[in-house]
Amino acid sequence: MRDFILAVKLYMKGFLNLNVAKYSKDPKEKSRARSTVTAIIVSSCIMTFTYGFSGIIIGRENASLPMLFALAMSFIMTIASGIGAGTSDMLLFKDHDMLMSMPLKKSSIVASRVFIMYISNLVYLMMFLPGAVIACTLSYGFSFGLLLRLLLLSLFIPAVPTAISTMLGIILTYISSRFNAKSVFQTIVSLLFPIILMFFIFSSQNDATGGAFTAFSGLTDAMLNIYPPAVWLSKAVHGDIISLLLFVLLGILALGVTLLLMTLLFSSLREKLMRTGKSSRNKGILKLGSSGAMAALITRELKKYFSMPVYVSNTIIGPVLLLVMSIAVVIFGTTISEALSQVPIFIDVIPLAGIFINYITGITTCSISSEASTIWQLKTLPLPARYIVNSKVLLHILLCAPANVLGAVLIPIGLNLNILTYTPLLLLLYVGSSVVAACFGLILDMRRPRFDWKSEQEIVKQGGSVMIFTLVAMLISFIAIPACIVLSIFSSSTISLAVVDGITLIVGAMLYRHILITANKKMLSM
Amino acid sequence: MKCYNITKSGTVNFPGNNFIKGIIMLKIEHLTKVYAGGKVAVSDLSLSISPGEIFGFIGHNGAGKTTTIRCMVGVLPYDEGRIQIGSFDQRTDPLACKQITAYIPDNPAIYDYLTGIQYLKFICDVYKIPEGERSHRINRYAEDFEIKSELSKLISSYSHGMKQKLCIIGALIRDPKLLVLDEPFVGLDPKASHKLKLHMRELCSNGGAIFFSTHVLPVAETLCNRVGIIKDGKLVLCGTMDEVRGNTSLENVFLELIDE
Repeated sequence: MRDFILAVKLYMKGFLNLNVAKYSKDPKEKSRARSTVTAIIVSSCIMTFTYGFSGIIIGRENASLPMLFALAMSFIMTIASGIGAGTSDMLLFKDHDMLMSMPLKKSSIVASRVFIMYISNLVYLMMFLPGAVIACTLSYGFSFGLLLRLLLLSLFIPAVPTAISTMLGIILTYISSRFNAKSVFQTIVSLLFPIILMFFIFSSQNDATGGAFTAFSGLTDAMLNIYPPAVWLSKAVHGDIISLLLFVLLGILALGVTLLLMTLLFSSLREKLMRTGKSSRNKGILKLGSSGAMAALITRELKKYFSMPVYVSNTIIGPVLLLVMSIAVVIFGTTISEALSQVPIFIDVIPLAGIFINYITGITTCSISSEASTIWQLKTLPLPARYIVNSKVLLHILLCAPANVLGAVLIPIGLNLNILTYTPLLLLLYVGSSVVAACFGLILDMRRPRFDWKSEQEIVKQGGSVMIFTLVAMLISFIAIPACIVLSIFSSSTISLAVVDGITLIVGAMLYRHILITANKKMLSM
Repeated sequence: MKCYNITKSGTVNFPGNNFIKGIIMLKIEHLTKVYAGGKVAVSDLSLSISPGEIFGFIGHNGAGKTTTIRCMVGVLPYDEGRIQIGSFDQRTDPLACKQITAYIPDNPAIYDYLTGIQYLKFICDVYKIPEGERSHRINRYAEDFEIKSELSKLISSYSHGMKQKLCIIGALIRDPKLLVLDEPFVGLDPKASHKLKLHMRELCSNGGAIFFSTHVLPVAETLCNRVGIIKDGKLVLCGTMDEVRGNTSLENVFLELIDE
């Protein structure tokens, strides 16, 4: 136990950079650490406000809905991002050699990694949990018993998703260890899981075209259908002690089994993962083609990006969602159009979902931080800093481009909108929002890069720039979409789209200009 | 003092002779670097190196060696002073400085996700090494450092020493005019160390200059023409090897200075 506590304490000092915030004399570092915590608190406050409001209107019989929604979000977020993280956090953490050389039990080190993953998922859930607890309390009426039940449920919500994502990560690692291109295989599979999960969730909803409340309860209904412990959670909120105990016991059991398996398989899995493929012939030296500096930088960025499955699975989900949505709109377009025929304005709103999807795609938010100790190489290149930032922005735009182009073409086709008018407008909107997201993410990461990370998870999920980016992206989407609806009421939808296009492009140009102006100074001060 | 004339593309006609009087390759004037929090890492440091010289930079841990080097190669901004490489100023013309400088850090952190050959191709592309010369240069240095058969493997599978060798090859294939090395012999096997020393001498005989930091005083004693000793961010002694060591050894001089 002592070993476990020591290992956890060591990691927790680096968690969210809190130790740096406490001891660093560098104001930049302090501010970077504070921004992460601030972003979580602000998100939590926004969610709490939204939930609290919903708690007043949903009534006693629906009191478990907010907790079920938090459970659904925990499930989706953990599975979507946790599979790759399972590999990087559990097996490939950078301080492995140092920890293993210490007189600490291997099982304690492994247990600390499982615990840390669970804590990290719990912290992420803090964006939803306080709100959910308040909403439940408001709709059910306050009592200490209810509060205790909610606290216990909250603590164990991330347990099973953490266990599932870790198990999937282990299986994936085991299979991928047989391939030479491990990262590519892991990336593809870790992307498939959330897509399959989303497919199950949405296909089990009875009414996907209802109003906001129906969509909200539809998601929780889907959770009840595909995830049996959700029923226990629902009953536990309403006072069923047996269900509460079952839910808690399942969480403990899930974490326990994960721990046992990890302890047994840790060394062999790590060894398999570290093993490198057979070297191919040295054909490269004989035929060394040449390319320009920018092409070389983009190729390097691309290789770096796809070498980190956690990075890919956390950031490429946006373009994949847009792609899935575009295809779904083509298949179900007629049904959607008929269902929304009473309120035609909603048909105009559907393409705008692409803005939200582009704004949650933060490929550049840890693009600088991911350089880690190799940053010296970029700083000593005889290239202007604008080359380096351009390569990062371009990578983002290129990765989003296929989904953006297909979305701009397929969505108007699916919704029977005028292709000649809508496709160019949507293309401008999607590419524009992609530029805005790329530039904004890069600006944040250039302001507060973090190079001392031990696992990719620390910059991809817990980084201050990622937190702020997600928060601002949500706010912009909440503002942009209603603004567009209001505009559509007073003018035609194409005019309102053109206005949003214009604003997006202007903002994108301003952010890009800011990057170019500040790039040299920022690069030098990193 | 006359400065050496090097074009922005990095091409230069070196006479090939060592110690060209009055010409400098690196000139640092009153360099001061203060870290956030107020720690003065380097204080009013001045030195210069001519083409053909190997300059050894010696100091205790935390003396400011790496900070000075990082300022020189444009990795770290500095507060006061001037750094001139060839005829270029590091502050006003950093790209021209970087084009003619190669830097090998103490920790060879290079891109784990690339293979050795991909890394070298990246360097060739960025430094615009002519296509015809790439294979020749890479082959030559890879064979010398006995790493050729490993070049198609991912860098993540390399040992510390192999990464160091790849870093060195990446620096040498650019044919730099100024080679800056931070603790270059750490992690290298004796044969690779010997090869590196030979290449350092060759670079100098072709008119280049070398600035390197080390803790291995016997190496500095045999390899360097000039040496500088830094203590608490200040250059306390600088001169030719004979001037610095006098009748005693470099180790004795260093220990005396550090203990003062």
